[in-house]
Amino acid sequence: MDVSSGATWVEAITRWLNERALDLGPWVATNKLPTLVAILAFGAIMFFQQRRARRGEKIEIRRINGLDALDEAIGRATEMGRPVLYVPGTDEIKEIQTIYSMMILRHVARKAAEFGTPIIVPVKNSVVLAFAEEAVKQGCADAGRPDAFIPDNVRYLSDEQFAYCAGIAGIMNREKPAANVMMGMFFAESLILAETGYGTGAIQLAGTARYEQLPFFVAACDYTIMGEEYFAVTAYLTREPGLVGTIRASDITKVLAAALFIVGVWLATVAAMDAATISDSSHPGTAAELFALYQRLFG
Amino acid sequence: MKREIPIFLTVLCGLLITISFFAPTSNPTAIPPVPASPWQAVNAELLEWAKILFAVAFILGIANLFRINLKQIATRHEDWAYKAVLLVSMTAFLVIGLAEIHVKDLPPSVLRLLVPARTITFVDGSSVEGYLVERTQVTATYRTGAGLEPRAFLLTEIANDTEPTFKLWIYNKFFVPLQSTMFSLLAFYVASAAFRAFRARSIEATLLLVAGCIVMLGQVPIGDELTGGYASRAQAFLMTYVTKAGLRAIIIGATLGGLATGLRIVLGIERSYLSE
Repeated sequence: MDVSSGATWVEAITRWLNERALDLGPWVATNKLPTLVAILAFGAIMFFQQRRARRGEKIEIRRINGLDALDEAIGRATEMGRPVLYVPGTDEIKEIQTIYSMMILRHVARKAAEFGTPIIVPVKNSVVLAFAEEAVKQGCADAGRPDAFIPDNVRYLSDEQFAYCAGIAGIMNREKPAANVMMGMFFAESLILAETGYGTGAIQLAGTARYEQLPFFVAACDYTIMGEEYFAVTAYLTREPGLVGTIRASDITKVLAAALFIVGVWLATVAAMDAATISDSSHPGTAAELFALYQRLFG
Repeated sequence: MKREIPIFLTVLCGLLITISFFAPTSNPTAIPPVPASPWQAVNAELLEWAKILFAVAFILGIANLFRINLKQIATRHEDWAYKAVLLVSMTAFLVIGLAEIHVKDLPPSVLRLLVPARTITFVDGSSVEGYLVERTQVTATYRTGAGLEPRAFLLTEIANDTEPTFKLWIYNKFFVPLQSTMFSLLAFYVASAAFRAFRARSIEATLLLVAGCIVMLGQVPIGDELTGGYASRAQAFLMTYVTKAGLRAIIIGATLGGLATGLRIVLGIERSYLSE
């Protein structure tokens, strides 16, 4: 890197980056390189944290009331002799929240089988149906009760959003489940489901990473698992070191991201203040150059 | 092997899709032009496979629906009549939809029974009823006449061609109103949920109540009239700074959580979606 001939070091870094414009051929688009680097860095942190967790280092996960209440909800359903309803959201299996919902379903099915309570799973998509059947069957097997799996309780209702919603409302009103667990990707139907469930007097647990629907669940459900908590459910329930390590990795990455935000905000502020005082627009000032470099690297 | 093969396939497909996400997309107009990456072709092929899987899985859904509902009808479950309506309407819609797709091949009597005919009006004012078989840039072929024989017409001869599909009619007259009815329930549910959420039982609920009132006042003209323009400014402040900050925190956390879950699945660390 050449910082001679009067160039500032920021200009030298920029020039150095320009001269080494990466041509990664058919592998990586240049504009996606920062994303790739970020994902690789995250993957490295995750790998390191998993190793630490597997070596026996204790990693604390804060209490998530919604998950602690799962036993209470299923226990209540058992006492009342009524089923548990599990709604896996309305999106397809390609959505990460739906895939994760299937993993949570396995744990819920295991708990329900342990308590000897039937679990009803209405699904909106036929591919999800196959996954849900397998998850419930496996959950029952995990509990040592493979006979607890009732094939007719995993039901395909409709691929249409409101037909599916009406079908679930019907199940809530007719079969009166004592606990409604709604985990996954939800859209406009979230409040209709949650309010119908509230009307039947069921204890309700909802979880989604879709922020638009969170207020509805918070208003209408007893417990809500929101955002990142949703993706921590299996780690929280199983305490498996490999999974718990990924939670720590997410937290570390969040701290790093927050530090980067603070640096970016500070640079943008100083650059704006400099721009107000520097009259010569051909020399924008060090802060502005640094901010341009920041945007290039992380923007 | 029952677990190893699915894990291998998951890891392989996950890595292929990830690589193709980062591969450059073809852009011949860019300077210099970006050629098509072979990874994009891999991605397109995998997506085609996924479409076929999704289509086949539909049969699973229909089979599940029939199995559960037929059983309930047979055992005279208390709601058996609703189950019968569901199965009859689903079968009827399926038959009519298939008939509309296979206009070319169906015998005339079946076609007339299941599919409403189009009215083709010609430039000279005459009209004829028929079923569209094929349309090219120059001609349109219809099955017309008593025996519904295929006959081609020049497009320049045709003034108008109505399309009264029965499938669409059922959809518009039954399904859309039912769907709208379900959606309109939201208005009442929002009111009842808001009533409960806004009860000032704790400091958080009180803050929610105050913020909600400010936002509602800022949304309506009378709010500004009553407060000298402060309501909309306070609303803008709450929505731009307070709400957005919380929202972004949730989005960042959820994105990282989703990314960690995706990596766990792609790398074969998370296996609880598989049978033992």
